[in-house]
Amino acid sequence: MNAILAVAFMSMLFVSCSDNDDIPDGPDPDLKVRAYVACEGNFTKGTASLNAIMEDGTVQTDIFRNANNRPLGDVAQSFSIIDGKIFITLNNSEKIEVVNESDYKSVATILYPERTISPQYVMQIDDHRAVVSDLWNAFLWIIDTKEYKVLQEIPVSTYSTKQMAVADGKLFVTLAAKKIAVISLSSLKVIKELDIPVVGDSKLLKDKNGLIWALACGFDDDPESIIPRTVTSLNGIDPTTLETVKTVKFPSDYTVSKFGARLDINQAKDKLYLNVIHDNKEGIYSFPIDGEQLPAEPLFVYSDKVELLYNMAVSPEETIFICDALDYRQRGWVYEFDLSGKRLNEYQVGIIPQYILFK
Amino acid sequence: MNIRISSFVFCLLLFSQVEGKAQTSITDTVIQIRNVTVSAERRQRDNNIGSRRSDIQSVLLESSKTQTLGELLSENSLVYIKSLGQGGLSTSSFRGTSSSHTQVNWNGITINPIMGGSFDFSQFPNFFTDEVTLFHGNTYLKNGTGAFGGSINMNTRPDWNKETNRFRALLEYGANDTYTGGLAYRHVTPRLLSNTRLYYQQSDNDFKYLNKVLQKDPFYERRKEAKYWQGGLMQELYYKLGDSQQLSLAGWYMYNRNQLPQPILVNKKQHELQVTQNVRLNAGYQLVEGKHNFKANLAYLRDDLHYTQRFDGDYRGTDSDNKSNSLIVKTDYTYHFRENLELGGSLNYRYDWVHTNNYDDPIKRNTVTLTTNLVWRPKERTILNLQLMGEQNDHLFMPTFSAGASYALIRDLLDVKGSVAYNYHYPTLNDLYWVPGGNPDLNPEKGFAYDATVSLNKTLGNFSFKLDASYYLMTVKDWIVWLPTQQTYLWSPKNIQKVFSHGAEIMGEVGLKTGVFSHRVIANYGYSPAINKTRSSDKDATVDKQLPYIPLHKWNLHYLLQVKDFSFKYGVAFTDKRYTSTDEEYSTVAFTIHDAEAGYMFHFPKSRYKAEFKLRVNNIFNAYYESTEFYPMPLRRFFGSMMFYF
Repeated sequence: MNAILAVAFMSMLFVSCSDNDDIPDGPDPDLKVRAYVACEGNFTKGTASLNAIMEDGTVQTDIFRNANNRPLGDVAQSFSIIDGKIFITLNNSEKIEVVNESDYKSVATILYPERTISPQYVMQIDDHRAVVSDLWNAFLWIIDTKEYKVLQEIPVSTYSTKQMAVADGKLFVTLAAKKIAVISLSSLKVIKELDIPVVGDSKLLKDKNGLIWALACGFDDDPESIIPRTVTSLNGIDPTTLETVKTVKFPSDYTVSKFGARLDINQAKDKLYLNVIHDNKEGIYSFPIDGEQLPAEPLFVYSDKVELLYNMAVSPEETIFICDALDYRQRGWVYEFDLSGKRLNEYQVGIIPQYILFK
Repeated sequence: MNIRISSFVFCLLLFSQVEGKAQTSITDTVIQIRNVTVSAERRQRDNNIGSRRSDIQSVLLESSKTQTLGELLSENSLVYIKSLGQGGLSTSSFRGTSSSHTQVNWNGITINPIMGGSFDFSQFPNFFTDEVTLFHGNTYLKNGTGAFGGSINMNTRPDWNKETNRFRALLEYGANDTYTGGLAYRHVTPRLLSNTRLYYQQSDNDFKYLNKVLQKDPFYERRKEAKYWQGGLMQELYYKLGDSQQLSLAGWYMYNRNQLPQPILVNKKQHELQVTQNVRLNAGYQLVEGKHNFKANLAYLRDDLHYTQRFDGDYRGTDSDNKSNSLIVKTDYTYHFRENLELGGSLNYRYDWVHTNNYDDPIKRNTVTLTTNLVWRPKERTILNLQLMGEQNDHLFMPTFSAGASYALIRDLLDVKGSVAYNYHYPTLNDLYWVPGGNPDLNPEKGFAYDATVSLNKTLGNFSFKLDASYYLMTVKDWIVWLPTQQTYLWSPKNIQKVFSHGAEIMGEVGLKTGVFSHRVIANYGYSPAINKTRSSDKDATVDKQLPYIPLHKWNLHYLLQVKDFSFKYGVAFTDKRYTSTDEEYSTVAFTIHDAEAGYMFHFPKSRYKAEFKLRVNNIFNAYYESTEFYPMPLRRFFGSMMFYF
């Protein structure tokens, strides 16, 4: 009797342990990519993803996970495509994932075990090196883009480096939203710091004339304080003289978001696009590089069309792509608007879409 | 006499409508003092009529004395425990609600942290409790509001028996250098009982696992920075004032020092440490005399939490210092008009004050709660219960109620019962005042709950059978969700969600004695859909989706065998997949974990001394699993223990 009971009980115990059928289908290599979108995912939740918007309007989501059967990592900040490889920075995972652009298969994982790091952006500086900016450190680091390892550091004066641009043999990098450091690519040393408080995570952009453009506005360090302390301005920097040769100051009632201000440039490199707050409405404005003042009216107001703008980019067709993070807790959207504000397309991507790169 | 006057005044305060009767009863009646065993169980049952109550079996509690309440509940109840690993943060989801919706009571005193509201079950060693009772749903109001999911009640029980062993010493050693020691001493005189418990556990907690997610090639690594130290001292004193009155005094100090490991897809070199100290004092007076049942408590709770975060790089770290205090006065009175009718009430006051560098200013909060309760048995098979409550929380008043009924469909075999309740949950102090993001304009979460239970209970000779099956249904409005805000991009709480939660709970137990063999099988199954019903934008894909980290299915099964002094226990627990995003796009995989334990009780000849030796294996099949995604749980672990009874 006891033996029967024991056997009967034990037979009930061995049931299936797990299911793992939630991974979506892999990418279709026959389709051409129009744009890649890196999504941050939720902090510490490992839901960062790389997504591909295809030319036929479909979206291939989480292409890294599908190709490699593991999550991309924690908090994807950006990516760069260098020699057919996609370098994706995962800031809270403290790593850079490198995948083939052809099949998204993992090529390498770049770690920096000697340091606590937070990689932000990757900027190629020659055929085998790239510079990585870092949120948590007072240095940038150089990686070997062929051997996938860290080569050396470039010290700067303060922690938190973000956006970068290369011009005239120099690397321009934003420092803790207070300054722009200029680094000689030959000596790999800082040669000058420019007192331009680049706002939010807005890009440093090179126009057709070679000027570096920066969107600037001063804010308090207190994260809850969002009142600007200076007027907003667009600044054109001559990369040779390192002088600010053009400054366009906005009227005081035209401001930008402390964390959400974004700046991009069209393919012809002659017109800047940015998001500006005026009269409690947020809109997309354009600014020709030879202009003298910010237009009084936006191209379109987006605050009633987007729940939470997380990034903005200008496509080669000169349409506006806006990343909508919704409530941070679910998959977000990328909307494509024409310059009149008509929504042309919408693409559901991953959680908190953060960075767009067009092919 | 003083007691009678106090009772009278208390009655006046609570029940003006029955003033005449109560007064007559106290002053004109010669009260026959009888020898009564003071029993909290009866009161709890009577105030929870119509909804489900479950107890963790004493044998399961006893075998988990070296574990925490989180592990006990995870393996033996339908409460889902979301854990960051052994020694790590363990929070609950009860009936599909959030962790702050589970009320945790120690001897009737609510000990949920007043800042965050969510109790960390990893910081409650089972060594410090004699009884764990779960009230399912929000019907039971005597300990206050907010328990949408239910309450978990840990009680210590005075054992006045002089014949039982007075001294217990526990030693255990287990995997990953986990050391546990416990001492308990009981001193009994005819009027005074002293109960002392001392407990300590530490673990390197550096188990090995295969990391498949961090980098291109999988690699073995050991869990880093997951050490913990846990110690505590509890002293209880009980003093009998005659046969009907009792004084009690309990003091409990807990110390927890935890390194906080990172998720395994993070290649972090940061160091996080959390040190918590809890002081809990509870003085009580209890009277059970004739038709009167009175209880008063004065309690003080102190929670200190210090968190530090350090980096190897240039980035500055974080220090968070949180000190919270609560002073609680509870009074509870029940008057038994007749055998089939009792009326009671309670008046509670709670004063909370917090000092933390996470709020702009020190915060104080006053809560006054008045509850009345009626239990009526109109027929022998029928019991009805009604509770009305009003709570004043600083400047906000909220009324609520619960009502329940129980009917013996087949006497001594089949009971049916049901209840309805309206409850609410005040925003936590962190919701209101956390910097950045706290929102002082939040409203309480609130909602109705309905509950129906069928209970089958039969003993036939050596065979016993018990089955409880419940169905519940609950709606919660103004569910608080932290969301990002425009402009600042900071998270801030809002009353945004409406949640519909319903489900089923089934508990079965079968016992059989054959000769010296005693078999027992205990099974629990829970089905818990918890659905968001709010669409916050036209792109919102979370409507009609399951809330994150609430498994749809959860079950556990235990087989217990006793053969004279030999005991054997085998348990298996299944937890369904849990979504990790609100749109159900991401989820963690389900897992099934098997545990076993064998023990032998050795009796010293011609003595009441005895020693119990146990060998326990957790996660027998070495399954890799995660309770919280990317936080690995320990693989197969062996533990050996000795418990001496003198």
